[in-house]
Amino acid sequence: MRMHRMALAAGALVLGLALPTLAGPERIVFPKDYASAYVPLGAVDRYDSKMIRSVFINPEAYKSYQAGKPLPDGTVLVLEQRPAKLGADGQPELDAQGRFQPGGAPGFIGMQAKKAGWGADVPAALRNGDWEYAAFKPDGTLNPAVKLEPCFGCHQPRGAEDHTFIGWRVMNDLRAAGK
Amino acid sequence: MTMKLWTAPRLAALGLSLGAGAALAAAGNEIKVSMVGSTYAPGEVKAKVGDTLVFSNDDFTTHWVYVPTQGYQVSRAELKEGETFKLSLRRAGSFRVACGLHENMVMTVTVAN
Repeated sequence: MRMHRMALAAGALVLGLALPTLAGPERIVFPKDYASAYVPLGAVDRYDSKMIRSVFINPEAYKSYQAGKPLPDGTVLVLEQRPAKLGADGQPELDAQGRFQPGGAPGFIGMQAKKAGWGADVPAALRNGDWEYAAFKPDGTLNPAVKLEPCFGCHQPRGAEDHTFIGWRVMNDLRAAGK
Repeated sequence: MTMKLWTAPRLAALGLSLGAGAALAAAGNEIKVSMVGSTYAPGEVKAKVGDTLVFSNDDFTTHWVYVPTQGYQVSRAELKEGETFKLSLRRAGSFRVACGLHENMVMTVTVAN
């Protein structure tokens, strides 16, 4: 994504065109207090990557959605990924409930945020409505080593659920339960 | 849970030994779920704690095994044609399974003690 946009910017400069504000992970602000201030939506045991992914949403978006409205402008989803504890066979150990156990500190934090108009800066082939994506290191600084195209690619076909995975369905369950 | 109910003292009281039969009972049953035509078949499964769901991608495209229900959330992405994935059922309750790639591909699983 970044390379694509850099190429776009370079092309615009060559042609002498005025540049619009570039999209990208830089405009997503890392919420340092997400673990305490955001609403937890659960932890997903990822069998394919042997990771645990915990998902949080900002409380304003949560309240809006629970009130029956779509995910609003300003929605922020945080995905915190940590390795699962592995057994001698190299596979994740399961507890009595069949759940993965944490095997280390978070090493990757991904974010999905949307704001009206952001999508216009994303190439149509990758566009996810007005969502943008960013990857952070545990210290809250951007992680430029993580490619973001897979984020756009994986979430793109999920337009019926506003390009989210866990968020939409968990919140639907909670809304149905009156929580 | 089956293991807790059929502990060695209980089996001994019944005059049974911990042989192959007991091991099979503890292991539970394997229940096959076929992924074909972008559907899960069967679309509804009733299982018991200790059983194992065996998802088999018998389709011509990649699917996911994705459980969004809180408390049961798991994901096995990119299950390619011909591949299988086993999910051990250790907790009673009900959850949904969905494919991350095909929004109408869903099923429900109910697990009893």
